[in-house]
Amino acid sequence: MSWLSAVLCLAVKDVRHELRTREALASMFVFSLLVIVLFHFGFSDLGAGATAFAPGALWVTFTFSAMIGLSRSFAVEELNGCLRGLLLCPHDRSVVFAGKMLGATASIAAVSTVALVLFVILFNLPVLSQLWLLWLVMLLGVVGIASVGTVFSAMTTGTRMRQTLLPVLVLPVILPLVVFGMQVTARIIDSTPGGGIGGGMLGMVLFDVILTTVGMLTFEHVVVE
Amino acid sequence: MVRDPARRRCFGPEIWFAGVAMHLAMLAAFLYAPQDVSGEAQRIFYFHVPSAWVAFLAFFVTVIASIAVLAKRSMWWDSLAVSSAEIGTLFCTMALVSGSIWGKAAWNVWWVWDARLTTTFIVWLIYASYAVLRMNTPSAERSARFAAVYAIVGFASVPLTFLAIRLWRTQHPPAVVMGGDGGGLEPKMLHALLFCVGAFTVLFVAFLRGRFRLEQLRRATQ
Repeated sequence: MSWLSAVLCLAVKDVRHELRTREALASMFVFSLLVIVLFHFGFSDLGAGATAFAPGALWVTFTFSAMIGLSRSFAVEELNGCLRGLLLCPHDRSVVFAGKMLGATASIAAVSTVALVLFVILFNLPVLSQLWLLWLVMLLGVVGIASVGTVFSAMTTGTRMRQTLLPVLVLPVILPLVVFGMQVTARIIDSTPGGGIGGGMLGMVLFDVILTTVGMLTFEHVVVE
Repeated sequence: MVRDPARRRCFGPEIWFAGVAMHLAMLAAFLYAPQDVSGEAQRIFYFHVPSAWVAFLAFFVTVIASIAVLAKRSMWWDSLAVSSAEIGTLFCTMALVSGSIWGKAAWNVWWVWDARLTTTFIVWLIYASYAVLRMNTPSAERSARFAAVYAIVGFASVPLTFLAIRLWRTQHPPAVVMGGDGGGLEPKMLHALLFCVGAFTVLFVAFLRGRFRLEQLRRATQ
């Protein structure tokens, strides 16, 4: 089995598990709806225009629903010693990292896509023609969050207070990604022609590449027995 | 004064050297350096800049030690990483607080979301999370590995944080301009500043050695 097919095999296993149990997907989805409702009462209901708070609200939704998904990512492998089984596979540890990361990206991206569309509809954002661009920015963000989150999720399963600890560890590290994401989202919603979109997206790609590389290199040291 | 054998084993003669250097630093900041046009509040700079310098030096030491932890699996390096991270957090707090006090005097606001300030704050948050991670990891060997990974991943994200906020801020220029860079200082002020940086570095080394020995003693008793 080649590296790539092993990675895909692991990612598909995670997606299939998620589709059958729907444990994380359901709570992530309901959670993101609740965040949107809270933002309505916090900002829109108090008179702020939707375009002003949309970037912040969207990224808070993406980030926090991702935390729910990521906290489950390695917790499911703890049952029946599945993680040990994965580590015993005759493959490099980077396969486990890449497979888990891809699986997490798939489920977070699925929930975030629905949240994005619902947000645009519920707040009447005039961005339907630019929706694909917003989606692309969201995806760049989700990839980075998933790669940092996968390393830390593997870590926190071996600690006390695992559920609480994960966001504490992940959020300060993914901050540049979220700032870039919000910035680009704001530009797209404002429909400022060209202004800062390219630079911001480049920053996100840079973050994804650097942090995925660092994640892959350090992951081995996290799961070693 | 140093009667307690444990304390004597933690702090060597370097702590006395640091004590003298810090007293001289105070003289340099309050007597040698001339008063700035902006008033006495400017003198906080002689403590603010060295604190920030020591914080970043300490975090750099932590990252180097963390790489060594993963490469060599040695608890010696882990003791160095944890000591340096703790001292770095302390000096980072001092830099943030002293900067805030100066900001109130100079800009009439306690805080500005400028790239440098915000990045320092985020670095502080990363090392606070680092401490929380250590607190919640029961086994010492695991704690060493996890903390090392966290320090390295966190370090990789810091320059990007600066870049992200910079990009954001250049679009919306801040109302205030960061004042007093080394280049525009009067020679006497520069001397005082450099001396303070040196004194704080000596203090850092003294603290690091003390904290490192304490960590080694703590591990020996476990």
